[in-house]
Parts: sequence; structure tokens; C-alpha cells
Amino acid sequence: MNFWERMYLPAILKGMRVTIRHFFRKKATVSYPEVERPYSKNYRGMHSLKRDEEGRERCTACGLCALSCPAEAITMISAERKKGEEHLYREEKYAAVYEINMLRCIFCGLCEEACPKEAIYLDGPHVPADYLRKDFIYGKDKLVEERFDIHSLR
Amino acid sequence: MEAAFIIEKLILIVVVFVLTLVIAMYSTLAERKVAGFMQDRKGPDRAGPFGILQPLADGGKFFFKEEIIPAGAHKGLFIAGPTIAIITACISSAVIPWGQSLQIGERVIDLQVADVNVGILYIFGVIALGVYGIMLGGWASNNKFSLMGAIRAASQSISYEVAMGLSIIALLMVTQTLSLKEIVAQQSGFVNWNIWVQPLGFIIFVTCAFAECNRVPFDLPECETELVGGYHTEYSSMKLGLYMFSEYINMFVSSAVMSALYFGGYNFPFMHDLGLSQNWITVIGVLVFFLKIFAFIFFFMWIRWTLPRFRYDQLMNLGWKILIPLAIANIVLTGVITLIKDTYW
Repeated sequence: MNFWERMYLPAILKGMRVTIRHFFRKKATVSYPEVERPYSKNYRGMHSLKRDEEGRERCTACGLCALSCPAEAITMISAERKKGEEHLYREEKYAAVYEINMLRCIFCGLCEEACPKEAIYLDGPHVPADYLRKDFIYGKDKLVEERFDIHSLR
Repeated sequence: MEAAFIIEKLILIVVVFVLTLVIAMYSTLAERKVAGFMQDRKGPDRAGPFGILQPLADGGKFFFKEEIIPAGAHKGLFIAGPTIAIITACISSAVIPWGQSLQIGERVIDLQVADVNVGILYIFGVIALGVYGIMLGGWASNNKFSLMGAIRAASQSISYEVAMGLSIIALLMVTQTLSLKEIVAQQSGFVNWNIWVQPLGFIIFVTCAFAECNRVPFDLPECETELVGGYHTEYSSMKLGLYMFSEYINMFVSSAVMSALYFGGYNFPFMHDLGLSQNWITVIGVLVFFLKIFAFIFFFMWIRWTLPRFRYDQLMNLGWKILIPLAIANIVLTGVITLIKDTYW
């Protein structure tokens, strides 16, 4: 090494110049939760149980999603549709209790692929944080999508 | 000793002490913000706007944690370690001249807590005592890794103390006085600053100051912390907080001493040509001094996030085989030039 290199001071100054340039650059931080990064198009987030055009739940508690789940996160209890509930459920069998354990779920999407009724889709946001383990077992109240008016959709 | 003098000194002591602690506290935040900005990310910004309340949150966290004293540790020395570290860090700020004198009514108040005429020697003595804090902490922990870390920290400290003292000797040959107040008073204006007279001495002093504060690239005591243990392995909660705090106070005092010795302290360019009254010159001088101190603290952090750390043998090599000969050469050069100047000019 020549004299200037052995002094290390020129090298130190060059390094300091690099650092100070980075000091003034735009930062890559995203200030969550004020700013949210957009999800990609194929992002698999929270599950949602869909309804049909008349507002009836599609899910018939056939159990194919529970069977296909590699993490065994889905459990359900089926029930028979009574008279007077035709506007609530599409077919005679429906899921009275439908629970997904979000801590077990690996968001692979196999339940979405397995469903014959196109009832479950992974199109929600990421699962938000919580304190207790039991609060991560999502029931139908958190999973079934809201009723919508098909004529106001665009 | 009249009562007014005692009250004035007491107020000055309290102000300087509080200022030292507050600046050290916000240095911890500045360190994290500067680190973030240099790494293309923002630092902490959740605790209050721009993270202003973060040091308070950190202090609160230290109060709430559990204090653990290991079973085989020597209890007295274990507690004495951080105590000595923080005491020596705080008392070294007593001899720094913060400004010229203030004239309030009839009293002339010197903005310096203790005008010792061996000011620099006092600072060196206190810094040397700071090594005890680290060594006691490492030894009293009853932990082989702590002991190794403490030994390395102590050997680093004493090696670089020698070079620091030697580089100061050359400066003292120029200023002819040890009193910090007079050294700063001699540097009025801009062209009288000692940096123009002693550039090599300044570089050596800066390197040794980094080593004394255990800052990168000389943070071997702390890197031991990451890798193995280091002298503050067994410490928790407030005692650890005191160790870390004492490092930032040391940084602050080192910056103050460097700007007082080499960069003119409270002097600023054109200070006598603006036609201001004595009080205004003092006040602006204090602000300018703090600006220089903050610039040096930023410099400490800038170097930290640029350079990798030294290996132990490289560190010892630098301290003994490179800096000491350089400092001695600096002394000889200063002596020769002073002799020529006095004989022929």
C-alpha cells in the first residue's frame, strides 16, 4: 500500500462521504399505520365466506376445505335449514358453526381451491395483532362477508 | 466566601449538571435517529413527534426493570462500578468554560464552575479514573467473559491515554498555560483557533478521544458485549442504564473539551467587530459553543456508522506503535518551529 493508503485517513473520508450522502436520501420506511403498503394482486390474506346474488350464504358445510387444509385450521358443525330460513342459506345444509384458527392457518389457499361452491376466498387484509390466543379463533361473525346490494355494485 | 458567590456557583452547578444530563439523554435519541437516517430508514418516531419523548420512555423502562445481582458477585464492587463511571463522567464537566463573563448589575459572573489553573490535567485525571468503573464492573461480576471484556477495555483506555497526553503537551507548548479558561480566551476571533496551529495534534487527540469513550471504531468493550459478554453482561436495569449513560456523558464532555482546546470554545468569527455588549457576546458565545459541541457529537455518530471496528491487536498496534511516535514527532516539530519563530521573528 502506498503512503496515502496506509494512512487510512483518505479512505475514512471517502467512507464518510458515502454515509453522509445516505443521510440526505429519501428514506425507505413506510410509516404504518398512517401509510399502508398496497398488497399485490395475488395476496392471500384473511378468509371471507361469500354470499350469492340474493344474499344467501354459499357455504354448505361440505368439509372439503377442512379436509384440504394442511394445518387443520378449519372446523365446522353443520345444520339443516329450517322452513323460513330459505333467504339465509343457499342449500339445505349449512354451517352453523364455522371456525378457522388463524394461528394455525398458513394462508396457502388450498381451501379456496378445494371449495366446490366458491364460498371461501382469501381476499382480506393480513390478520391484525391481538393479545390472547383464543381471540385468534375466528368464527362466522368475523368470516362471513357483509350483505351487499347487487344492483349498487359496479 | 460571601453568600452571593456560593449561591451563584450553586446555580451554575445545577444548570451545568442538568444540561449535561439532558444533552446526554437526547444524544441517545440522536444516535438512533442519525443511525436510522444513515441507513435509509427513519429512527424512532412513535414516542412523541419525531420521537422526542423516546429518552423518557427509555428511562422509564430502566426504572421498571428488575435489578439482578448475580449470586457470586461481590455486592459492594458490583454497585460501585457504574457509580464510579457516572460520577467521573459528570465531574469532568466542571472545568469547562461555557462562556465569557456575564455582567448582572454589579456582579461579574464567570460561566465556569471551577476555574482551576490545571484544568486540562484535572480532566485527564478524571478520565483516567473512569477506567476503574469499567474494571470494577467486570471483575465484580464473577464471570470470566466480563473479566476478559473489562481487561480489554482497561488496556485500551490506558494505551490511548498516553497518546492523548502526549498530543496535549504539544498544544501546551503553544498556549503556555494549563488553565482551560485561558486557553479558550487566547483563541478569540477565528484565525487564533488552535486547530490552525496544531492540526496533527488534533487528529491524534480525536482518535484518542474515540478510544477513551469506547466508541467505534474502538468499541472493543462493547463488541465484546455483542459477541461474548463484556463488562456489562451481568448488569440490568438502572446500573446498566448508568453505564450506558456515562458513555454518552463522556462523549459530550470529550466534544466540549475538543472544541474548547482546538476550535475556540465560545469564540466566534468577528466577535469583537459587531459592536455588541459584553453580555450579548457571552450569550452568543455560549450558543456557538453548544453548536460546536453538537457538531462534534454528530461527528462521533457519523464515524460510528461508517467504520468497522478494530481487532484487538490492530488497536494496540495503533495506540502504541503509531500514535505515540506521531505524538512525539508532533512535540519535536512544535518545539523546533517555536524556537525558530522566537529566534528569528
